[in-house]
Amino acid sequence: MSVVETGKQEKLLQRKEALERRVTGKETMVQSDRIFGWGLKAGGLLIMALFLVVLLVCIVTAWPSIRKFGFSFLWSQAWNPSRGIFGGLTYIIGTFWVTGIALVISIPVAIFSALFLSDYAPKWMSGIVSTLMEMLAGIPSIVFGAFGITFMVPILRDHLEPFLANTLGTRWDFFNGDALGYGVLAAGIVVGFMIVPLVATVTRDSLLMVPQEMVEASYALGATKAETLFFVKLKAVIPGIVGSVILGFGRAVGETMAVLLLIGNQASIPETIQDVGYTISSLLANTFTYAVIDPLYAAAEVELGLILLMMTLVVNTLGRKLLMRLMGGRLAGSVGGG
Amino acid sequence: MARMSVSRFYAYYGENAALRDISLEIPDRQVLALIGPSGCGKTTFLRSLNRMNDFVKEFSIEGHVTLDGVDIYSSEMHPVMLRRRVGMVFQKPNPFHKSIFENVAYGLRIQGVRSRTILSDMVEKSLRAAALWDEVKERLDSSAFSLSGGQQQRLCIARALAVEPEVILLDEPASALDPISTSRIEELIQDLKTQYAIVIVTHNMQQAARISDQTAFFLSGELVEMGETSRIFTNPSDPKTEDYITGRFG
Amino acid sequence: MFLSNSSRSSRNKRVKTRFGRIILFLFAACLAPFLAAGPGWAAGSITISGSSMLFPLEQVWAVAYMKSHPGVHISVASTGSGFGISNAANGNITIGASDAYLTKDLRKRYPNLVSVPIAFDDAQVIYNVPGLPKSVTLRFDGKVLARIFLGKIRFWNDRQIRALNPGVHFPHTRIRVVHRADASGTTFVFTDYLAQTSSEWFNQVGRDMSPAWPVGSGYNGSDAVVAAVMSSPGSIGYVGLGWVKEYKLTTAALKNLDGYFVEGSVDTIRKAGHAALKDPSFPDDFNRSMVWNIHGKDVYPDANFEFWMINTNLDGETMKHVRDLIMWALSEGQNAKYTVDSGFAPLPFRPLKGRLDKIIHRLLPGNSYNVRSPG
Repeated sequence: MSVVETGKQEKLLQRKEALERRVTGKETMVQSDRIFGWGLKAGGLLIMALFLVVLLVCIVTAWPSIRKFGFSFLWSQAWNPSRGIFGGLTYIIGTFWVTGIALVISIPVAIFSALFLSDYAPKWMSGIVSTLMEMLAGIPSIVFGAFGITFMVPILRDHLEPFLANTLGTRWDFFNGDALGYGVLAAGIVVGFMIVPLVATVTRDSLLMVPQEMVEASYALGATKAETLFFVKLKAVIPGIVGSVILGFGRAVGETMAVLLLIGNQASIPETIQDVGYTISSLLANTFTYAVIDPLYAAAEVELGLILLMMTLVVNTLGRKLLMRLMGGRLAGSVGGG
Repeated sequence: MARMSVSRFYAYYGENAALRDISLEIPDRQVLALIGPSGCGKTTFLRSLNRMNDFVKEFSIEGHVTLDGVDIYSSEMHPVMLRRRVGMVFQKPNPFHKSIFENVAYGLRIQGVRSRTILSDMVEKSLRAAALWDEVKERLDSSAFSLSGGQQQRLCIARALAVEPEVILLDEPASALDPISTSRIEELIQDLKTQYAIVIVTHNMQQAARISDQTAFFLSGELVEMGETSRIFTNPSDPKTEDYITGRFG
Repeated sequence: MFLSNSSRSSRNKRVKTRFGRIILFLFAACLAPFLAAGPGWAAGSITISGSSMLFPLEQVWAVAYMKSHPGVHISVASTGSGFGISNAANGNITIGASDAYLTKDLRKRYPNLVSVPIAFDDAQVIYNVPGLPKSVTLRFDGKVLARIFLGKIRFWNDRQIRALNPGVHFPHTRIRVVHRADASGTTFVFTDYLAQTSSEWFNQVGRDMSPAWPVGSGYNGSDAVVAAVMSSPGSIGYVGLGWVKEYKLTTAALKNLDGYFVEGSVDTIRKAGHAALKDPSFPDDFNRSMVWNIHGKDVYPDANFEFWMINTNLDGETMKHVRDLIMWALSEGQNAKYTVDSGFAPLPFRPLKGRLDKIIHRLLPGNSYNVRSPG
């Protein structure tokens, strides 16, 4: 055996050892991966368990009310704790009022600001506005509530609500209410402000992700910038908008502090946009600590909480269905085009 | 007769000249193929013909491009009007998130056409011209994305045809397609040249040889030579052209 | 799955045991608070929670008491009267603070709770009538007030309001009813007055810390009620003594049992307390409204006791500490620097003593309230 060959063999041996080391190392890595995996699985299970426990506790706590009132709880307006009679309709409708006003106000504002940020604002400006918007999304709701009381309520009471009553209100009773400032309009507007950043940020991000080719195709057909924006880009980001609106709905429907400060907390179904009302979450925040002295009272409030949970679940599911339908063609297209 | 003519045309990205001293004529009812290696400026040139480069930051030009004698970079021609007369089909199929019908009708709708009969007629005519009608006439309302890649590209051609342009610019329209779809597009181009002036950018020498009447060879931002396709491919006057088409570089 | 793999190196086992230890540690860390909480608080430790209204008074009391009684620790929390009552009943806390006495239903549900009166509060009517000079004090009786809060009297220049306030010029302004949205002792005593004086109110709404208000708009906390009344012309609402003092509010004079119109103040509330306690029919367990059956000229008709709820099942050691604290609170603790400064009226000691003896006796058999009055 020549020296060269011995050297070669040694080298081979070294490589083999190195390889083995690597394999062993790899094996322990697999092991740690597995442990990591168990950790993650435990985390996932914990979340599931937490959800189930919360749901179970809610159902058990709400059971006396569910058993006593059944489905009539959903369409009865009677809510008299001292007589042990409970019906949640007033609060369910109040919740829809605030959420509806918030969405009607915030969706157009959010979409226009997203369009502005993605396509019209100069770079420095869109940077600043985007940062501000993200900060806006982080402001605690109590601050929005305080803003609503000190700023929105006087404006609504002295200007906007009388104006609505004197213009639209002469035609539709819907706008012809007593200008108090507090009420579903104030709560809806402020909650709307709170969800604008949410919807606008998601919409802006989707707009920025619209393929440039699609935009160019529109220009190449002689479209102007505005036409391209409204007829092509907006159309392409509808799934993103729907998704963000669902998020916004979830936020609006559960919003508590700002609503509690502004809605007027009166257990009556609003008939005009200026009326006071009551939402599920503000009722719970206001009275739950008191309701605990009576199991049936507490049960009725927890049942309202469950209804709130159902509302978000239903909207989420419907929204997801809608998204699937909107994206169905697109997914098929990307497969076919590949 | 020349539909468009380009004279002493320079294009810059910032400080860098992407095109230098280009002068050529785009003949009507013929296919002009632009060939050359990647980065030679042929796509920049194509996009300069309907001012699609306007959206590129720091892009600037010198020289003249005329359409029927009117300078397209002058105030006499608004870019929106220009693009209605000079249509474009892109490398990758890029339909809108709309139905097949609405994709084709889009250009007309933004011109303000509201009549359903006119729209239907034009959509059918354009789809027939793009040889897609028989495949989609039963499902005009389904999403454009439900079509195959080749169908999508023909849809994009139909979409461009619907606004009745005079010149059609094609930027490697078949490069993302399979051979069967490619040959359908090529047949289609042959049909279309009876009515339109067509400019096509292609990397595929056989394709250029098959479908074009004129060929222009670009290299490093300059027009090396232009002439009858048969002559360019058999007897080029410049050795660089010969090197390129025989595959010695590029 | 964890054990099935036989070809495991020793290194892996080490990893496994270390991992196991971490898991065990985390598990123990999660359980620790529950394990430690088992036997309850130490003997010298008293937890008070409940009424948010009493919370400020309890805080100053706790500081002063711990200073003069080293070895005793008092922790105070504001959780609302409802939790105060239920937590005291099931033994989670030592003392539950409540703005309201135990109604018949609650006494039935929580038979082991004893209520100890510890201060006075009241409900006073505040209003914002456009064009009315601040010097004018409006007069209401329970019937008119109830009709206003039922939404049956809708304008300020209503005949029934004018009849009670001759010589006052009222504008034709909509009345805006303002009430508390959260469950509140002030609401309890206010609706108690309405329920005692108006059968309409008694039948339609009744008395509650959080009743089903027929009209108006609700606000969370007295601050918000004051703000809403002050900012909305035409408003009428109610707040407790402390808020009237703090915001220097003009309040209405309410008609008492003998037909006198009396404004709420520390003095008129104490007079009401005297009258109630002198009344032999007033129950020893204090579980009745003070609005009821109180005669006198300067007696404010809408005052109530604030209560501590004590569970009779507390162990003897803790109960002694609680008794000492109650004795201190009802003597030294009634000093104006605690009570009046926190928005309450001090209890009158002398008429209270006989009934307190009985309460202490019930908590700690053989003991009585034997501390001297501070005067």
